[in-house]
Amino acid sequence: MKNWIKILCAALLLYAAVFSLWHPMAPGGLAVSATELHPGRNDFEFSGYGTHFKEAEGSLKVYVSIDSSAVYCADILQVVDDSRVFVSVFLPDTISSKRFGFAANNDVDGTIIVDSPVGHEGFVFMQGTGNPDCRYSVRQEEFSGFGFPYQPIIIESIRNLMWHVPMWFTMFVLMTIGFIFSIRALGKEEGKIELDHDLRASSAAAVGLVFCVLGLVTGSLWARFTWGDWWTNDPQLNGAMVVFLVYVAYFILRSSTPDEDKRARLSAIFNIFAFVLMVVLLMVMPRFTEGLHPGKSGNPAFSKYDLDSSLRSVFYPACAGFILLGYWIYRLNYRIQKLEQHHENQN
Amino acid sequence: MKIKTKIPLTFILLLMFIYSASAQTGMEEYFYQSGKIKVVVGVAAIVLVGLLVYLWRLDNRVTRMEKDQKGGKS
Repeated sequence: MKNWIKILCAALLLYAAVFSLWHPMAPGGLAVSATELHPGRNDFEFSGYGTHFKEAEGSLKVYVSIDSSAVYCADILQVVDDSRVFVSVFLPDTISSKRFGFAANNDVDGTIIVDSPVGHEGFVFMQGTGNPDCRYSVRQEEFSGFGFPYQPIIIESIRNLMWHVPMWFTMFVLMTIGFIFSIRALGKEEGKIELDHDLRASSAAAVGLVFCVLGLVTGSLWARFTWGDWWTNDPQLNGAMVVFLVYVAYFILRSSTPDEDKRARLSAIFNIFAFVLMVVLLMVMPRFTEGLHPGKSGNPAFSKYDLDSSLRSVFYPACAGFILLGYWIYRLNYRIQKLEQHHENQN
Repeated sequence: MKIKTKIPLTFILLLMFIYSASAQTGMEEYFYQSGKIKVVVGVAAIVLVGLLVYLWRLDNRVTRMEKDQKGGKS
């Protein structure tokens, strides 16, 4: 392996590790303290994440929107700090629907929205009831600064994208290397098997399996604090577990076959099937099914909203860095196994 | 074979640690603090620990060969 590749790998990983944690978050709406709205005065606290309520106090406005057509402005604002503001909104008896939303707007953060469900009591609902007093056309001003996009519930843990997803990309690359060498091992002249290619295939699969385990464990931790459970019945998660077990079976098959030639042949065939299964279970199947994991229903792996330019600027270097690291470790593993074989033959 | 069983064992222990720690409600709050940044710390730590464990294993294999070579020559 060339030295410049190692240096590139180190530089990419350093960049990814630093900036996945360094970059700020774009502002977003965290919560409102109101649990129930009623006609008359409603007092509640509007809290944001990474917002600048105090800094941009002069331009701050808070609204209760109903069905995103009628809007009621908060007429009393009391800013506590950059992330909290106490507001008071007057709501009439008759409103158009019970689909409430909360929004705040200022010059620095743009429009931030809180979409938490809220109860109601005592309203009369009538279609087409507007509010001529508060003129605000729920415009979606976006945050103009640099920051990772704010998403409710995920919040800061969006930074995991630069750690969890590259594990799987690295695994794909390593398993592809293993797949290619398995084919080449079988593609030799009749009756012969290339043992060196078999060794390369198994070395790559071994390192790929390590990244698979890392992907599963990091994903499990992330799922626990996003979806509330260590494991959910999602086609992508279950597919990943099946792929993990299939590759574990690959190594069990190898260790249970003492004859070198037979082992190489059997495991090469097994590896080809395992790779095809991996592509089907991790890349094809999840797109035709519904589930919690992103990348569903015919979409490419990420929608525009999931992966904006600020995330890309760190995500792609992270992927490249981890893939190079995986390749590096695979080369080490292969060379050590080669030496071990050589060593055994000598003794 | 002995070392090979160590890797899954380490991960099982790591998982068990996280499971048992999460049973305490204090852990829950800890991870939800300041916009869940602690989840990122946990994920980064898992990646680092996992790779280090694997490197440790590679290192052990080289050490074993070195020992064998020394024993064979003298």
